[in-house]
Amino acid sequence: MIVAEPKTLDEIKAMTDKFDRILMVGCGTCTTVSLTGGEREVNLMATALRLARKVEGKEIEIGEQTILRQCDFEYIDELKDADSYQAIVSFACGAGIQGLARKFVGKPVLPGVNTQFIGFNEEYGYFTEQCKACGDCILHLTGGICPVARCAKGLLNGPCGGTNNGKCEISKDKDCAWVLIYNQLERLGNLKQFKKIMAPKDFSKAGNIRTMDLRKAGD
Amino acid sequence: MKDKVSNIKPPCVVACPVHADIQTYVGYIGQGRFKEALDVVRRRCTLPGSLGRICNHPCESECRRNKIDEAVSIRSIKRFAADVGMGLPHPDPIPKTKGKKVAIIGGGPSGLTAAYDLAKEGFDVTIIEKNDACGGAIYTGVPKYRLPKDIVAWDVAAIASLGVEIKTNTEVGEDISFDNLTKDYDAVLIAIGLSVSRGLPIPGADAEGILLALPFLKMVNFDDNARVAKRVVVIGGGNVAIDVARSARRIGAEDVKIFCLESDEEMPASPWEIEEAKEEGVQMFPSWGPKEVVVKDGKVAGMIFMRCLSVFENGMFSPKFDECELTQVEADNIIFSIGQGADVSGFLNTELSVDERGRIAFNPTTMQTNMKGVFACGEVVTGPGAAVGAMKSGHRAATAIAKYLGTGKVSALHISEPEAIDQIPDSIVDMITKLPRTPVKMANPVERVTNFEEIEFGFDQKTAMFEARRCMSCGAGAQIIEEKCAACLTCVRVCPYGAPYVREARAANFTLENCQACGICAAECPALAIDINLNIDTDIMGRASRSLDEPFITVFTCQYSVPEVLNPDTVKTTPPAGVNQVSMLCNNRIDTLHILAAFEAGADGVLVAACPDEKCRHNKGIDWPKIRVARAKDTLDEIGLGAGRLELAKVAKGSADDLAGAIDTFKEKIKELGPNPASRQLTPSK
Amino acid sequence: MGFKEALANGEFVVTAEVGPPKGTDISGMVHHVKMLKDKVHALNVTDNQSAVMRVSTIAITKVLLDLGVEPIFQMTCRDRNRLGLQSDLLGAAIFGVKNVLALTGDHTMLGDHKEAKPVFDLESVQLLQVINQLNEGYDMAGNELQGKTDFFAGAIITPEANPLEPQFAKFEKKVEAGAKFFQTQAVYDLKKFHSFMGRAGKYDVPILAGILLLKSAGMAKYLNKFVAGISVPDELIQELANTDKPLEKGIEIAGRQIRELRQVCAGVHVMAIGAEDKVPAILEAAGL
Repeated sequence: MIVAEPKTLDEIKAMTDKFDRILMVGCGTCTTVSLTGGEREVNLMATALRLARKVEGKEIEIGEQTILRQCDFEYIDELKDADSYQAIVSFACGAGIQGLARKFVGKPVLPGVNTQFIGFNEEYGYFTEQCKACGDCILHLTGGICPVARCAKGLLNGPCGGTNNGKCEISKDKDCAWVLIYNQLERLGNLKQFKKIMAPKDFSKAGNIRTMDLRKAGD
Repeated sequence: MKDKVSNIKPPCVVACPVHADIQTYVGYIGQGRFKEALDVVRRRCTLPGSLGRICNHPCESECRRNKIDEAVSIRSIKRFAADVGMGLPHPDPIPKTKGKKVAIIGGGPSGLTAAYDLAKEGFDVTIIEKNDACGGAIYTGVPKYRLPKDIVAWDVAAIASLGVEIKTNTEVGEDISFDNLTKDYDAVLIAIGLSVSRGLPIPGADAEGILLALPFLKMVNFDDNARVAKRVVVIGGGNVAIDVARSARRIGAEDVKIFCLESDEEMPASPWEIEEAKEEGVQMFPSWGPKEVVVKDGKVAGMIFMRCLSVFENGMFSPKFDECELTQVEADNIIFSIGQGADVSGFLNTELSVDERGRIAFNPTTMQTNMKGVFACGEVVTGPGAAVGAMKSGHRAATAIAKYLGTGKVSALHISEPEAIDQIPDSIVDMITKLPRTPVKMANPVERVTNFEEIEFGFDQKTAMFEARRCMSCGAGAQIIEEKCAACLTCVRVCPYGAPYVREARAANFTLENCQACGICAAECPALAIDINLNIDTDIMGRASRSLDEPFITVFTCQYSVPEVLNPDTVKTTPPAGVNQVSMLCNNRIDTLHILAAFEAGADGVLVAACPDEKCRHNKGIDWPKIRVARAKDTLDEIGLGAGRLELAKVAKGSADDLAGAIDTFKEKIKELGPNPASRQLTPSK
Repeated sequence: MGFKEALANGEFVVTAEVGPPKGTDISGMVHHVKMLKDKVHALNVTDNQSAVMRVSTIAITKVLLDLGVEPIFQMTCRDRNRLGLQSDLLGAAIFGVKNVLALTGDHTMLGDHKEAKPVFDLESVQLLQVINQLNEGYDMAGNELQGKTDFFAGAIITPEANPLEPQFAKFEKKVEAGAKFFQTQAVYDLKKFHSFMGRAGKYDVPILAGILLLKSAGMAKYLNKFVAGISVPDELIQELANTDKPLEKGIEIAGRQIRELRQVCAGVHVMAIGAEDKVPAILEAAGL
């Protein structure tokens, strides 16, 4: 799932400063699950912004709608009266925000959240990054633990010198992925895999402007 | 395990013969909304003052709290609602819009209930009552120490106030003919009850000193000089026998013995009645059958009993005796309390059929007798039972009559019976906070047998509210709005009781048995897809009076904790000016959104009054109100209103003084901060 | 004699290091270089050490070469992608740099530009392979070079890493990838280092033990607490605590350890962060 964090009220206030009638759009899928872009957060942010604007003496009218996904035009079409607002704040991931921007050409579409990562929902309110969408999965070589996403340096051949008691050099709270991988490969009886030198990653597969076209499958 | 909220009700509601909406009225009492509570009681329990005292309350036997500690004292809570209502005006008359007249013969619980329902529907209802007042068995039979007459009168008056005409001292067949009634009214309901006591065809049964239960109770009820001899034997094992025995104790009998066919466990009398009788010195002799009366000089001298081996065979009354095992007791009075029959003399020589038992013949699916437009209900068709059972029959009859008068046709009633939520699962029994049942105060047995004063003291306001708050709100908790649910598992993760689950359905669902209606999930659900299906009061906009000089404070209170002082709906108290109380069932439900909404509604300050951690019924290691207040404070700082306008007060459970103190201190603080700058329109400058 | 040759001849090799300054004034650094010039076989030139931005390593190696000192070009993978790394290596080769120490590099989060985008397109093992491929006359993509390099590539190892096993496996990979010498993280517990050498010695790659000057007991404790893979034994901390001249004691300890290490490994790499002027004293104490 895509995990996003909320933008601060200050940021949203600054973005919407010149408008007095905006629409806030929640996304009912990933950002709802990551507790930052669902109906609740939209309602919270809208109320907070209305109050903040009242405090400043310039009231704002805010419409609130949440749709199932903002990364599909069919769902975006469910938005009502969006054209009547001066601007739209989207609480979806970057894909959803751009979806609204593509739909409502000529209208400012503003981000309500900061898209963070593809993550795992560990427990209530706690998410961890698990995947960099690198386009070239090697989890079969690394005991099911991704060094690309979970090693701070994305190393492919073992821990760096900064590894310390199983923790990463950038934070004592973060596990050294390579110690985890070593232990897992040892459990799997596959340390010889660890000892194989992995070639530099093919980052062309993680390049920008990626598309996936399944339509040509029938050719 | 049941999770579909269709016709599934709390077990108390299901067990109640009239399916009174117990959870709702108990909830209202817990919130201090007494009048609303009484209105809810009346809808199904039409004689709340009386039933609040004498109901055999099957609801309590099924209460899910029995598995935790003890049942909620539902009957006493209902009594409290009625007692509060006695200080209020009676309901307003209902316009007679239907243009149809119904005569009800007999003003007992079933007839009165039918009258209530029909009057509410707009029918013109007349009750024909042979006694000098309505109430039936609860008027003439139930002794005053259990049910004072003015209570019955109040219940009856409330029904009369709807516009029901009551003709007392009017006996069908004597003062008015049945045929005339069927001519003059569009429908007639026979609800004459079972008003005749049966005797026993045994040797000596006609001796002087033999009495029958109903005439005896009537005497006790209406003759201040009624007396019995010192030694009294009562024969019978039902509640009437207990009433007889205890009444005898109060009018001179020193030695009262109850003999009955049934064994200890089989006695039909309510166990608490038996217990109270024993406290008053009544002795019980179960498993004995009357053989003959010992007569001396034409007067009762005693009674011989034979051992009763069994009472029923294949569910039929068929007592078996051991005539070799006999016992003899001395007695000056013997009172037969072994059953009642109907007095159908008023219908002799009419078309009306009477069955072989001497009761009115009727079809239970239509409630109609053999005569078109003539219906019957209550004990005269159902046989003897509790008052609440007669009321159920009255409701059915009213439904049948309304249908008949609406369509001109008699048709079968299809009333679907609700299904009960299962008991609390073993897995969470230990997680539920034990809250001991509030005992109902009773008069001292030694003193109470000297008079007919009411022996039970009702709850006072505080006690009633606290007892009501023991209610676990079974099944009234979380409900999913499926189309909004993102199946994110947040509810599953925050619920202390393991109620929510997400499986094949791909949307959350709640196990009714587990849910305790704490509201934690609803306040965390990111999709706002959970409703707490309960009468919590979220009138955040405020009902309290506002003054422009005083700060306006919204106080979120928890029903489980904070007393009634602030509630504008309470009968005896009024809220302090400028304070709007928002009563949550539990403050775990309080949502950051609620807090912001209060500010948006113009509050100058918001106080969240929560139970101290260790006292909270639902905190299982996580102090949700604290977390949410902290979140809201951050947001208030960002907004520019300042975190200082929001405070969390841990108020000692039930302490009105604590809360009032916290509010005063908070108000002072808010006064210094000045009015909410986001609600300028409320300031005098406007 | 050059660094590579000294190792090949079995001399006890000594290296030290210079840190490029932050700014264009290199006079202080030059002073240190001159002081060390005749006492060491080569000087490591660090690469934005600890992710703190400094003068480029390649420029400083040129300064060293001009001063007649043999540099060991430390190259990290943090700040350049594979194009940058290869082109800088070619540039260094033109200046006459022979020795390269291939490093992954500290994370940007540890340095003074925490907001920087860390690159890590390659890492130490892969960089070693790249260097060897350049020596063969080909770039990473397999294109033939006009003029190949002749680098003597090395790498680092942390003998006291915890856990050691994954680190040691990586050491083996570095050997396989073409590391011809190793410099180690600072070692203090010589008994442990001895047993490490028992394993690492089998690989026929010379290892230079890291010597880091202890300036005080406080510094020793700090290293234990905050620096990965360094563990100063309590006896040494006591020694430093029991003297009123801890710096001199530290020099004495370093000297003593170097003497002992002569029997154990191929040489030493002396680090004296912020006290480069004390390196000659250390070497003197070591009898070198």
